[in-house]
Amino acid sequence: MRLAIIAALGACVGSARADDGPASSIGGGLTIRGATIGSAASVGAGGFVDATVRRGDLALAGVASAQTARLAIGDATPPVDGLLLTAGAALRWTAGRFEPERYGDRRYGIDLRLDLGAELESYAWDGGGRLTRPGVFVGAATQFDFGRVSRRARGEVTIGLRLGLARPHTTAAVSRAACRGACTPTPAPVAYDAAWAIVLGGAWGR
Amino acid sequence: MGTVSRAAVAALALLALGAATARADELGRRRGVGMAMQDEYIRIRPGQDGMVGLGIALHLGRYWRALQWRGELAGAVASPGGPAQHAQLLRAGGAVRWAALATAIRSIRTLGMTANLDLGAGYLWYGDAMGPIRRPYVGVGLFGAMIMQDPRAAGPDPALSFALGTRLTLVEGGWTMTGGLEIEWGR
Repeated sequence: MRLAIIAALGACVGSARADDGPASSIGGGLTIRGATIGSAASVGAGGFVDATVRRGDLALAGVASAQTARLAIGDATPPVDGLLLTAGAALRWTAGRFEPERYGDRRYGIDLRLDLGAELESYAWDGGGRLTRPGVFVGAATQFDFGRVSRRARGEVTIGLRLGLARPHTTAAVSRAACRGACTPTPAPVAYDAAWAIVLGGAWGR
Repeated sequence: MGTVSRAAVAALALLALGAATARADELGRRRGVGMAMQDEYIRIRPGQDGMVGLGIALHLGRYWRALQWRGELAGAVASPGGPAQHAQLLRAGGAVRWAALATAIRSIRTLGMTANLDLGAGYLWYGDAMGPIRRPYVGVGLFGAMIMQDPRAAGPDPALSFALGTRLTLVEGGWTMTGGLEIEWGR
């Protein structure tokens, strides 16, 4: 697995091209997220901020988000509301680039961006209880680059999708969060948890 | 080995042969890389109700005339609400896509529209709280695509295409139906 990741990163570096996108940028936007937490399911929405440093087709981004979360297990147990905070880092690769217009340093582009990253997620449930764990994710996004939008700033808008994997919490921890104690019947253990997120955001940089 | 498995192995062998010999399509594209955001209706475990999922797919393609050979990786998650039914799906395989009908409007930039039929095969992993299912698959799809081709484009990828369509994937004992929007960067 480690060799595969190193090989993928090597391929990205080896294929890096010159790029006129912002060398550094900050951004933010909206996200809708769903995740399995053992045999329970959580859905929610919120906002995120990110900061990116780019070199050629590769970029390194730090991302943090705050989202609502509603945890449900079965139809007999009422759902539990909470807050999800995440913080992580992602390696972003511009794998495709289409530029219908370019006038000097003014560039319009539609780019394909692939993400590979890791994050720490922490759920805080109403009435007490916290579930925290690390996870990994992959993502793909279409990025609309508007080039220089003012004398100092460049702008871009991104819409994308992420899929994540994480090691599951213990059945006891899931029961405490989802059922305020013990669930009946006892939830079955799972091998891993999965998550998805739709991301819509913008970024400004130099 | 079941019927679907034999068909999947034969199709993958043909796809590999085609990809190795592919050259360029009529718009000059030799290869493309793309992504798709898609919905997935999953009905794989016998006796279990179907479920709707959300997925993402990536592909790498090579062209020869009106044909494209492509390698694909697709993932989806589904959660219909009941306990022990949260499901994850992963597909890895290949497909050949045929632009059966095509029209091009030539101006400063070329705008083309195609109707595509594709046939694919590969291996599918499905998992939920009841355990994993791992099987070969074969698939058939129908897509409509719009291609923007700009030989003067400043970037390294002078073509962009948008495809909208659906695909039926068959495995032994089940099936999935996928629909979504795909974007491809071609050069």
